[in-house]
Amino acid sequence: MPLIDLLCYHGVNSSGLAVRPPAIAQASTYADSFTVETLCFASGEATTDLRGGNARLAEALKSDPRFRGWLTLSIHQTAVSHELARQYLTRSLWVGARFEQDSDADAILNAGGYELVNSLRRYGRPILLTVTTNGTLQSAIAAAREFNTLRFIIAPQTEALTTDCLPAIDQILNISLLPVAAFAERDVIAQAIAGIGERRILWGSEWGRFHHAAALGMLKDCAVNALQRERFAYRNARELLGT
Amino acid sequence: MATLPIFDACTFFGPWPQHPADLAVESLLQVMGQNGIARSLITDTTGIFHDYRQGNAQTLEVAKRYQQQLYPVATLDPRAYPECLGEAEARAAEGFRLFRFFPDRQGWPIRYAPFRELLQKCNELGIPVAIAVTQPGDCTELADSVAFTQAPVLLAGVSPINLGEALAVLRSDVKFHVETTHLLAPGTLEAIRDAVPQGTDRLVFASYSPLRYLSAALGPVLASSLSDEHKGQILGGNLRRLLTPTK
Repeated sequence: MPLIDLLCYHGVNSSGLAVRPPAIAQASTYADSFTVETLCFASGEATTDLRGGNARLAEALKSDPRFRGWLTLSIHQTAVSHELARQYLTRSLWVGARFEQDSDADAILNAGGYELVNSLRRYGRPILLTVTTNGTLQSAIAAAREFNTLRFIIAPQTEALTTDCLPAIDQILNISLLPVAAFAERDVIAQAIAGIGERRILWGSEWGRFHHAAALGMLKDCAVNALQRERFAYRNARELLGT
Repeated sequence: MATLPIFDACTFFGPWPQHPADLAVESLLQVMGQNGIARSLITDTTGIFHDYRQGNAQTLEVAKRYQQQLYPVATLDPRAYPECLGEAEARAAEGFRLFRFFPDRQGWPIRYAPFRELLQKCNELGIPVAIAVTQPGDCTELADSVAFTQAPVLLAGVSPINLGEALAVLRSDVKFHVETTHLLAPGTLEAIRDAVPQGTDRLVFASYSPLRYLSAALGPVLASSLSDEHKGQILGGNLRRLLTPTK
């Protein structure tokens, strides 16, 4: 079965400094081994250095035609974010915008977030949000309601949020869930498909941050049929990427 | 890889109050069968969230029912001091050979007088202990609490955010071991092999099945670049050695 890995990481991840991240070339090996058609990378460095991190990711993406990028933006640096959005989001290499909501202070509609998300409507690209607290989950939901022509993808960063978000996003049809294997209890995939439908679940391994075998194991063990598995691990992402 | 039996150091059955998880014993046995797990160490979640004595009794009952596949692990709750000391003695006498602690779930700190005394008791009984150390600082506090004990200590819940701290603790004393469950950053197992004396002897496979996807825990071990011999140790040999009585 072909796969599309919707979330990979490039470079150092500051929440896991005890081991060095794998080199980008190893992502190509991973893609070869598991028939991954497309890998969508986010820059770990960009959460600290928006310009530098995204620029180095842009360079890394050239190493393999299967690589695409998430443009990391920040509600705390709106001027730079506008500039980077103009520079990158007009190119097909970039999937969309990504915001790390590390705490409630980073909630997407705080600070300059509302204005920034509003400006992103012109690009028509999805917005990926990490969710770390109930506050950031509620902010993601509020953003999706407000900007209902945009597609939002949430990646919960705890076990509790991964299951708690399902009823919360049930009626918000422009939110999709990207469960992270490291935080996924069994069987959140089957529950998500039953709850919000198989077209609103996406798959990503967080290669670079977590071992891809964990996400592949989640894919293997989830109690869904082959068609559903193909839809959430491949077809939904393909439609999202417009390929 | 040589087909050595796989032992799973941490599995659960019982209720899970945070969401409707299917932790039926039958579900666990099915998952074990699907993934070639020979034996699982099992704990009743009732003991974590409600009453550790009731949980331990039910754990023993279930393990007796499925003796060939399940091995009982007791949970002790230091908030029930001093009775928990007697519970440790009683369960040791019943044949429990591992005790598990859940400070993160139960809301007590590692630096906690009843817990320190309970660790001493477990050490006197020669019973290895597994303790959830999920936050930065937990491993360090735990290492201080067991500075004068000899019984093996299994670090549970170590993840990329506190891996460096866990490595420092592992290097400080050979009694420390670490569960693989959340060691999901790429290259972690290899880093432990390289940075810790007898590193591959100190890793213990644990899946938290059926609460978590078993293959998500097993996959990173099998896919690592460790030798087949080392994988075999991690997937069963190390745990069997830890469970061998020393007293």
